[in-house]
Amino acid sequence: MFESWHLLAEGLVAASQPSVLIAIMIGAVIGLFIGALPGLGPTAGVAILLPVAVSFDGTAAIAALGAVYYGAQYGGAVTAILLGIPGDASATMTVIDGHKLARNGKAGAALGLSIAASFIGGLIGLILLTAFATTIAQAAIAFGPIEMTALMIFSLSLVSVLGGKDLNKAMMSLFVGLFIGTIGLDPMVGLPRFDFGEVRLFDGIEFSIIAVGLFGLAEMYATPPSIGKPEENNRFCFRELLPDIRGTLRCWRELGSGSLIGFFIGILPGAGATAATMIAYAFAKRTSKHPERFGNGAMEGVAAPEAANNSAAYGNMIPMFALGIPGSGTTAVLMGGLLMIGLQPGPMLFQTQSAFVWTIFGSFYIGNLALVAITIVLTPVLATCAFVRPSYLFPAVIAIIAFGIFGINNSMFEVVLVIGFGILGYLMMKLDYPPVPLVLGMILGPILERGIRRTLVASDGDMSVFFKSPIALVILLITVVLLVAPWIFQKSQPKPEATIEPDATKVH
Amino acid sequence: MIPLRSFDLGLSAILALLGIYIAWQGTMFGYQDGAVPAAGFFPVWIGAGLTLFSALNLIKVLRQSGLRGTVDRMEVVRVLLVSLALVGFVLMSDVIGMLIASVPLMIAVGCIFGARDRRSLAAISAISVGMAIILYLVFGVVLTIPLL
Repeated sequence: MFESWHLLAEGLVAASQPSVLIAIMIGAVIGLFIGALPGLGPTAGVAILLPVAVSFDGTAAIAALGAVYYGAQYGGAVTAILLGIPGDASATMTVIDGHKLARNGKAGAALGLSIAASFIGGLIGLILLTAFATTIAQAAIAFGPIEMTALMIFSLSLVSVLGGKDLNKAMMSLFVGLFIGTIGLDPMVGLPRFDFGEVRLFDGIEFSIIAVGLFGLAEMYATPPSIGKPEENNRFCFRELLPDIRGTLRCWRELGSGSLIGFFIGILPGAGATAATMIAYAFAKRTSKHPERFGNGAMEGVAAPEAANNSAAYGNMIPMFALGIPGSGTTAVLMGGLLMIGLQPGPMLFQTQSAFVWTIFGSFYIGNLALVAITIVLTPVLATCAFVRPSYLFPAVIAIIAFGIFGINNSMFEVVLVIGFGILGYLMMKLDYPPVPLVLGMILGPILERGIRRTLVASDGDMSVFFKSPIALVILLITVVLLVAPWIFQKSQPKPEATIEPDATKVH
Repeated sequence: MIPLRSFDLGLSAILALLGIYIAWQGTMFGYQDGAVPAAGFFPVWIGAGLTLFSALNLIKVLRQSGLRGTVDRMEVVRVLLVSLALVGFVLMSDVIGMLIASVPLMIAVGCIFGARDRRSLAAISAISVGMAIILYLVFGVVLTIPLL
């Protein structure tokens, strides 16, 4: 455990290099704006910036993409409090009490509290990430190829939780992703597969093309042009924007519980930041001496969800860094970024690329601290973000997408592909096909195929090797339970009139 | 308004056919090489799975004869127009270069998303030119990507 903190200290020093610091700042500012802008969530933001970021040095690229992710958690609260418009789904619970506080002349108190809660939630999340990621990764080092293959099968079975209400559609999405993962040269014998006579498909389809099409373009297509038009007059005088330090300190209990709930919910694949904020809010209300204040402008109602969504962002990264399993849409895109720069997330990453991992973790600490100052300075600008019309914003974003995608291989062929995936993403969004299983299939499919084929080559085609390893057997049994349980629940439960979907089924 | 049911039926049918094609191609690549799996092993299973779940969804949608929601016709038109604008950008880039082609692309996308009065058009034109300069500086100068 002590070694982790020593390595983190080295990572903090490495992350203080000017190139990484600049990447963190750029990522944090972009993340803040993406969080504040209605219509673009953190997944879309990370996906859009992916092709641009990977053009930079590897460490700076991932530091910037990570900063976009956690920066968006800060930004979403500003418009939620000042304007009652959540910039992204995880800021929805903040609207309930945050906007009430703003309308009661306590906008500054709510904003100050949200920044403090975001910082404390982020810090607790980071400390737990530092402690848990290495422990889990060290335990997973014992995994051989058989256990890793079983783990990949388990990861793919996560569609049952990431797939939302229709498991059938989630499975279709997963199989399309697995198919896309097979395009290109066969990993074992080099035979071209599904290249349709196109040499440019020999290397497969770049992950960022899928991510940008499914998350970036599709989200813009589905955004109505009417958003961004001010519906009510939200003006605040300077006095109202001053923070309330005493009120913030009074919320210490909700800040702590929100951070812990957020982190542990964040670890669970498919639960995501929005679910974490709902549970943290409900817990804070249930344990409060004055539950009647919740919904009427309670400071605790801002503290708990804001601490939870920032902490959840780091909890979400544990399965990705330690096991190579993306637990949400955003971490799937981040994992795609790691693969694009030639790194394979998972237990071996901590062994082979230790300096990289700790520099990235160090950059998270720096970014989290920097965001406090950046958010305070940019609050007035962020508040106007909610009124930016898609007709002014989307042309610039689409141009960035076109140039970024072209820049991957200096080819317009990729831009044509992204147009196709944008239409596919829009169709999937409209027809309730979750995009996350597709991304999961595309990322994990090739790893799984290699694992299965190598294991079977080593065992001369004997499938029973998967059941001879106790670890693999347990993982496979959990996989079966995970796949079968939703079918049984679906059959046995009466159809509810309204359900809360886990936010991973959307694009967070 | 366009009913979503027909889209769902169409997509399920296409994916079911795609699944059959993948499985068929998989058998062409070779399912097994002696006792060990060959290049077609994984595609055969993927094709079978995709066909199975697409067929299940097709049956499910066919059985639910009621309305499954609609999508605004203008929204679909917007998606097609933005896609067309991007195709136009790809074609024009070869002729006039990416930077110059990006300006009409951005103006077109702005118009599609509602910037149609004179003031909005002027604003979006200015944004497009400014953005083209930024794109040149970031991609052409900083990242040294050889732009068309």
